[in-house]
Amino acid sequence: MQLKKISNSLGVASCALLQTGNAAASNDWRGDSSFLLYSESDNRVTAFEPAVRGAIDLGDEEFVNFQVVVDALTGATPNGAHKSTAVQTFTNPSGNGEYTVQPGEFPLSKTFRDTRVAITGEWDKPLDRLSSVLMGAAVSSEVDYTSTSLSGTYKRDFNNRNTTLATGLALTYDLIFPIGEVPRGLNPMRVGGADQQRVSSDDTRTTLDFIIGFTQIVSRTTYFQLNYTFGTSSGYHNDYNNVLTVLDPATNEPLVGGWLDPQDRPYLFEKRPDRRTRNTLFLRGVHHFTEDVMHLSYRYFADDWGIRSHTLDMKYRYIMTEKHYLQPHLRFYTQSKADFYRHDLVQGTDIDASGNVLVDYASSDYRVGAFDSLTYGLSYGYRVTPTSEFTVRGELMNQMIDNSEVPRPGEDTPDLTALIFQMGYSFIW
Amino acid sequence: MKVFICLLVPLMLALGGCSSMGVKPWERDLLAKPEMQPVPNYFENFYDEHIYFSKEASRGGQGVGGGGCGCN
Repeated sequence: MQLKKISNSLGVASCALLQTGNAAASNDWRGDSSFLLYSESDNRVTAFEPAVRGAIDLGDEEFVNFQVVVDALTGATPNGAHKSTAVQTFTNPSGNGEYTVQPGEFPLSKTFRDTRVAITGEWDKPLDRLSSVLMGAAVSSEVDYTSTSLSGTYKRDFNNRNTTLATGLALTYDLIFPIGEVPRGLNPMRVGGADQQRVSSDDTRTTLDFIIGFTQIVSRTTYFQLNYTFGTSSGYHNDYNNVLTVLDPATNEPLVGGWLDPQDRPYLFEKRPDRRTRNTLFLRGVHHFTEDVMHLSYRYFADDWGIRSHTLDMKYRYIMTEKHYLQPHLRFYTQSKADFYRHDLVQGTDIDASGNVLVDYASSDYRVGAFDSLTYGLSYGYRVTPTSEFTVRGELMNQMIDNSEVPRPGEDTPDLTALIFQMGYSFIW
Repeated sequence: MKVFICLLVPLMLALGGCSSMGVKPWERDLLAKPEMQPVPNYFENFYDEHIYFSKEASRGGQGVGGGGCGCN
């Protein structure tokens, strides 16, 4: 029972909606420990992410949670440029040193290495028999980025606790301080050691998220949940490592000469709008069969950058015995491109003969382009004791990039396959 | 805002219609099981949110809070 009650308190508006109404003062602790290994094909990003979480039951449905996550990242990541039939040379993001990419190779920045530490605390406090408030704070730090967040979610039960309404607000303040300072958007990459023409040492972004959620118990075996989220952010939204190739339409190769300064390279730093507004609808249904349980969810996402996405997620928990379960997972995702997504910038069309850029915004980051993604895998859970559980899961994620607007055959952005492996252990004492 | 209004109308209708749905307190045995919770495995959900936030343009839907990340 305590396991169930504490798990209810984890998370935010999505949780804590099925209380049985039992109140107890136990001072039980729950510990969760887990690690994730995320590994992309072709020696791209590898992440190792251990995490611990503690929750203390203060009694009367009041909980305090805390969490520490370390995220160690290495590998290579696309820098946004085109392939070429010639050797390409890029300056490191710091402005010092350079790296080369061989003819026909997809340009990857191999200097990607980062460690992130994130700490989160939450306090779930009942206000009366039917309502409660969950307050949270989070800080995270990495080599070029810090993030601070405060959140609060209020929820109230109605209709003999068969209906729950939840509403929450979160404010996030991010500070971005690139190694080598912030490049100017749509300004050329400069050769290593030259004046990099950076604009400032750091920049900021402020994000506000609002959610309203509704959960309804339908029957002894079924309930559903509907959430609407509105998010708005202002400030720096660029990926400062990302560039776009300036393409010479006569050769279909990176521009040589022309308006380029001898210390310029034919790659422009990306520039995204400094504001973004997001709307998300999320619908989840949970059903208990005779023994097994199915979770099914759908999410629709739309933002004012022109991106639309659909996400379908299905988990089916097959109860093998009282102690063992298997859980297949299937997730399908599809997104359209942002209005400013460009595979490259074409000299004469997007940039005039004097080097004036004729577009306001441009990014070649495939993550704001059009693609589909399919994830499939399996989890296994073993209840070691009545109050402890071991879980392990393995999944494969495939991102299939839409290359329909690539100007030349053979210059497709490659698809991505990633392995997701996780082990975890939860216990109460 | 249009999305918000489109959500509110069915939500109000649903609230009225849902008053006939539900269970009695003694019928909550299955709903109370850990695997019936919206997030049965906290870290499985946490890692997925982090991975897809990093590798896709969409985010959120399940809740608010938790902080940002330089990965996107």
